[in-house]
Parts: sequence; C-alpha cells; structure tokens
Amino acid sequence: MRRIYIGIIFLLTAFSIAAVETGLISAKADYYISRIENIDKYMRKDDFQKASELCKEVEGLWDDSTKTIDIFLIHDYVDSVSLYLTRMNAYIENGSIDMYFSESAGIKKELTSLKESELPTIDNIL
Amino acid sequence: MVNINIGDVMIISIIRTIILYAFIVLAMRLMGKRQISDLQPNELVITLLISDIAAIPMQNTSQPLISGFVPVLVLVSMEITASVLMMKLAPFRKMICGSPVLVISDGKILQDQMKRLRLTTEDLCVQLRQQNIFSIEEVQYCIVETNGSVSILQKPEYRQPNAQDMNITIEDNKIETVVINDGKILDNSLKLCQKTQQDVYNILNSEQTELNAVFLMTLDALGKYNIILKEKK
Repeated sequence: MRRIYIGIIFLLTAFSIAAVETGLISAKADYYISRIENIDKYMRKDDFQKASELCKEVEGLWDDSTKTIDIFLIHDYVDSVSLYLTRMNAYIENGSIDMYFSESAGIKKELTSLKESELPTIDNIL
Repeated sequence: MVNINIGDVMIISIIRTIILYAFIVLAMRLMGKRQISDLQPNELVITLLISDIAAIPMQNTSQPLISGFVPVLVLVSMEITASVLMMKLAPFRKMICGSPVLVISDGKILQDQMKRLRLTTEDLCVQLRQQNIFSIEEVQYCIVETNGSVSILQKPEYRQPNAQDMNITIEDNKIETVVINDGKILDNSLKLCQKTQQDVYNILNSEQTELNAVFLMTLDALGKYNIILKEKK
C-alpha cells in the first residue's frame, strides 16, 4: 500500500511541475509580447531613444528570467528569443525600422509558439 | 542560457548522468526486484522507455533535466498503479500479462497452442534442454508462463524420488547461510540461521582462529559450519 501512495505522490509531482511550467511560460510569453508591442508603439512614433531604453530593459529582464525558464524549456528556444532581442536593439540604434519590425514580428511569433506549444491541446498532443 | 563551453557541457553531462542514475535506480527499486528475463510485458515496456527517456537529457545538455524527470515520474506511478490493479483485478492482469498456456499435455504436444504462441519445436526443445530435459518423451506437462519462461512436470517414471517417496526422514537443518564474509560478520544471515554473534565467536574460539583471518564461514541452525581461511600472501 505504501507504494501506491508513492505512485500517487509521483503523479501529483509530475502534474504540479507540468502545471507550473505551463503557467510560467504562458505568463512570461504574454508579458514579453505586451512589452514588445509597447516598444513597437514608440518605433511607430519614431521615438528611437525611448524604444531603445525599453528594449534594453526587456533584454535585461529576459536575461534574468532565463534562469527560471531554462529549467523547463529547451535552452535553444530561450537563446533564440535572447538573440531576437539583441538584434532588435541593434536595429533600433541603427534606425532600421523595417528590420526592427521584421525582428519584432519574429520574436512575437516565437513567444506565441513557446506559449502555445506548452498547452495540452489535441494538436500538440498528436 | 549562459554561454557554455565544451568543458562545461561535459561537466553538466557528468552531473546530470549521476543525478539521473540515482533517480532511475530509486525508481526501479520502487517498482520491485525483477530480473530482465522475468519481466512481464508492461515491466519490459517501462524499463525500455525509462532508459530511453533518461538518455536524452544526459546526452543533450540543451534539454532541461526536468524533461527527463517528469516522464520517469509518470511512468513509475503508472507502473505502480498497474501492478496494484493487476494484484486486485484478475481480468486486468489477464489483459496485460496474458495467461499461462499449456503446450504439452499428458506427453502430447498441443500444436494449436504452439501455433498460437508462434513457438517452434526448436524453441521448445531449447527451453526443455535448459531445464535438463533432453527428450520430449520425458515431459508430462509443459506450460509457457506469462513472462515467456517454461514450467515442466516430468512423467512419473522420470521424476527424481524425494525423501517422502522413499519413506526416509531427513533432519531439518533450516538454511545454511554465509555468516562471515571477508572477515566481517553478516547480521542478517545470522538471523536467517537463528544464531547470534556469540555463537560465531564461540565457533571461532573452538577453531582457534580470529575473525579477520576468515575468508568465508557458513553456518546452519543445527550449528554445522564450514570455515575457509584467507590465503596468506
């Protein structure tokens, strides 16, 4: 009987880890998408100074949160978002608006994909 | 992820391997003791899956370690649940493990059952030879168990007579166990043969030898012992 309790504890642990992961990745993805959309607004207004400040801030926040996200996600995906942010920052400083929006669309797609791939939907399961 | 060089990757791989090894040994221990050859189909599947899943984060440091832990946790809990269900529900056990199949009945090979199991006569003969039976003639009943092993009952004329058949009484010496191994007393073995450490020291004194000098000592409940001393270098 002791083993069945251990089995139940293992199953609950696995579900808890999975729930924490899904919740954390979803919340982080939503947060960073909204922050990037905020940067987009300043870029549309040609306010490069403010956009650059915000982008650096987002980059710093992302670098801090990678320590947690790396526990759950394949590290290559996390690195790919970091690279997008670095390139976005470079394009803001160069004033390359088209290139910036191309990267911005890319990172939002990447974050949405990270979020959606964690959800237990039929298509993800299959 | 922080920048990592090849040396770090190797260290991470080593640390992960140690963690996963400890975790999988614990997981397998929880699932119970079985030899590979005695595994039921579900146990074999779990063993193969666990080894495969654990190998991924060991080799690929880009993969989070937790991605190896979580499936193993789920598999172990599934296995424990399945084993409990198999113990409580006979139909479930039958569905997962199948039933033992009689392939020789009253010395006659049941060809239909052999075909059903896709068991050739060569395979059957190999199994019989491994049980020291070299002629099908000797077999009265042969059953293929759910784990694939074969149980055999020989015809009466080929069976070895036992003490009861010969109407003789054999003294019950319980179990003979190894009580000293390489100069160390094994307390668990002493319990098995119903003796104490003092009994062992008494025997050693009577043989005028010391504990450290003993390579192996066996003892049974009747006090019958055998001592092998360490070879002098």
